[in-house]
Amino acid sequence: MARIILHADMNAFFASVEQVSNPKLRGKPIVVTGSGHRTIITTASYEARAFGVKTGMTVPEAKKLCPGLMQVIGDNRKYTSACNRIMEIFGRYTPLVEVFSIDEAFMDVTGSCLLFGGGAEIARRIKGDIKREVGLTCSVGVASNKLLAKLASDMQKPDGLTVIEPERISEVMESLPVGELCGIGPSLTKSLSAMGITTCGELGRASASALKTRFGIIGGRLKLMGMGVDESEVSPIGSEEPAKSVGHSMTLGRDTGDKDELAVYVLQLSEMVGRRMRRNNYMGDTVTLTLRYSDFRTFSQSMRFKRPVNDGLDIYLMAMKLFTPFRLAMKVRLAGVSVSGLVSDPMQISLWEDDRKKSSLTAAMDSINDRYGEFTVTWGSLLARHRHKGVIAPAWRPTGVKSVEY
Amino acid sequence: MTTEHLFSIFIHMDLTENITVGAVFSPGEMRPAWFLWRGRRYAVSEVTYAWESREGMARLRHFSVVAGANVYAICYNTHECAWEIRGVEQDWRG
Repeated sequence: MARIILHADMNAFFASVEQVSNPKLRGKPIVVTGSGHRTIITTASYEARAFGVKTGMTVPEAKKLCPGLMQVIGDNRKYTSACNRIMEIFGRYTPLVEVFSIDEAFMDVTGSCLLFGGGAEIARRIKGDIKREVGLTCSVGVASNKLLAKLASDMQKPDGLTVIEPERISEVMESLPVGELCGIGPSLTKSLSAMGITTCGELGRASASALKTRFGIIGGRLKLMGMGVDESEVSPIGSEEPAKSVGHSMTLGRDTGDKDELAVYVLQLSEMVGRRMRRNNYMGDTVTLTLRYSDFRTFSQSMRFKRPVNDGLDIYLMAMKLFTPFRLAMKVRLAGVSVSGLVSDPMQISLWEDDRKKSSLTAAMDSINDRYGEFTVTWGSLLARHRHKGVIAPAWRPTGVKSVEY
Repeated sequence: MTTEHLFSIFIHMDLTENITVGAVFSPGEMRPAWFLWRGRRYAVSEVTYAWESREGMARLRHFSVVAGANVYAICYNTHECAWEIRGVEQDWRG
């Protein structure tokens, strides 16, 4: 039985939420940005896109293209709340919902069609529910696999509904540029072009052995992609692979070469990482410190503990072992701390009283912060901590260790 | 003299002040109808958006509301049974 897969893509998600919230922004070219003065554009409204404004531009760059552009400083909690409401709507039609990013999801509705009608009918219902309850539009693609469903949702934006029926797959793929497929980026497109392959039709007919010789193991997969074949399953929420690392990074309020000031950032990041690890019952034995200079050169160094930890202070002390001997060549614009080598559900009880006291203190602090909010009780040196609203990581998910409250 | 403005920008003010709110409750829904802020009463003409967040155990129900010419961000803290104003978007024309 052919599968029926939906891909839903929220249209200019953050900008649309802001336009729904504030009537004065509707129909206007707006961009959503972070709060720092060096921030970049995270989303542009369709009105701004018409001027050539794109995600990743700086605001001055965008204003050159669109002098009437309006800048809105984003509130990530608002967008994660909207995402949760939208996921709840998807869940009414199938339990098989895979959150691909904060504004995209796949659904396998093969088993739901008898209840609600075919794939196109479910897509129409979902679009109607989202418009009515959240006030937003989305583009939905319906096809027999994830690759084609995503391709279909990209074909009509905004507010589209595109179905690729199985009998139309060859026709759709024949002249489609390979770069339109999810997973084939500019570099791969260039390499394929060097082999004389520019369309999916050509990719599907290419020699599997030639593709494997050039690209290794993914060569065979590329040929299947060219044919519109994708056997990958929709991985519902909760069935994701266990986390390999837990980390946070932040662009600093201003570039700095002051190591004392940077140490405060490292402590804040370590506390955030430790808190998220404890909340999700993880410990880890390898700490990685990442620093990005003002010229965007980025360095990472790692160190392994003798035993796994999840206490913010332990993580900080290890990160400082990496940071203290580091000779800064220039000012730093971004710092990051992550812990890998994770083990879940650790049950080790320390033999030493000091360790047990520290664990009790951490548990008490967690309990207070659970009740009254993050950083209600924390180290004195973090009272003046950095509070800028970060950018939502692509790995964000509504539940589990990848769920970050901003 | 022309009535056209040279430019128009939004001024966003972040605030955290307790306010008094009159709200209408219906099954599964709560809609602010008016609020008192700094001694003045503001009639809510439209609730444009509502969303939720958590601060510790407290669940916050946020509303974007239009009152007069401005858009206000207000929220209800379910743990403390208190309303706060969190922001104002004012259209400023030069």
